[in-house]
Amino acid sequence: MNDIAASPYLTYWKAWGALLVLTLLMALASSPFIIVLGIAAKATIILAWFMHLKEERLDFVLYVVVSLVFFSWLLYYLTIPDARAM
Amino acid sequence: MTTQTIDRWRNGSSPWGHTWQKNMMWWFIVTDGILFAGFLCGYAYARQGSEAWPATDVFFSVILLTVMTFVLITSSATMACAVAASRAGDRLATRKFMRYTLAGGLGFLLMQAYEWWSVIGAGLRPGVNPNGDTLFGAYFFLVTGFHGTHVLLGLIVILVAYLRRRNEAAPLNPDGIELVGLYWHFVDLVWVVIFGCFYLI
Repeated sequence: MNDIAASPYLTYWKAWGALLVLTLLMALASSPFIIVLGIAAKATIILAWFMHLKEERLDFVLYVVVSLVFFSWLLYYLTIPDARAM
Repeated sequence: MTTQTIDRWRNGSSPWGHTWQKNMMWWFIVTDGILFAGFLCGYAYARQGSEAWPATDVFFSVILLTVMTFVLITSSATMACAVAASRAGDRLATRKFMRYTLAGGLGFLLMQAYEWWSVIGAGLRPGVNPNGDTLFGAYFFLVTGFHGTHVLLGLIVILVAYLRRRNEAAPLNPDGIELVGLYWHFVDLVWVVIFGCFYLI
């Protein structure tokens, strides 16, 4: 099933360290663009390492990521331009 | 013809190269994620269209929220370790890491209760806001309450999984722990988005 049996914990604690550093950077940042980049980076780390998407088949990864990103984008861009026009 | 179909789907047990249980958990995660996306887009719509949206430092303490985020991320890391320990067949380590995860999740929930306590003390209600747009209160309690409910349910599920593995005779069932872990990481993932979109921007 998995080939990380040699030292499974180390990978997770590295991911944990990266997440903590990114959280601090986001808390200190003031630019919305940087914060959105931070969210994307943290989401990628959680999905790929903690949720093991890295070890799943590519078609499955695309199914998960494309549906989440596409529907979020759709919801956002079908509504927000209206709010700006008010 | 039929044999070919059965062969391709491995007798219905392994549609994407993993178990159907894992597949169902991912379906739930994707649809639940889209539900949260809907809430956050509703929130973004209300905020973009509002002229009196309170600044992030009116009700929130960034330090408390950063600590909450640290705690939830750490509990997610210990849950990942619990999954790895169960794969290695180490019952003691599995249960130890699950205890850490439970402690982290409970700590997060208590800090969120404190945060709700303080914003309610500052006069914020779902339909009342002394410092600006009333929709702010509605979206704050909707989004953080819905996420907090997910944390609470996750704690119950982890506790049940923990208790079911308490004696040596019970099967360790690493696949089950992996499903619990997927849900818990998803709760962490949603919090990362809420932390950024709601509290920082």
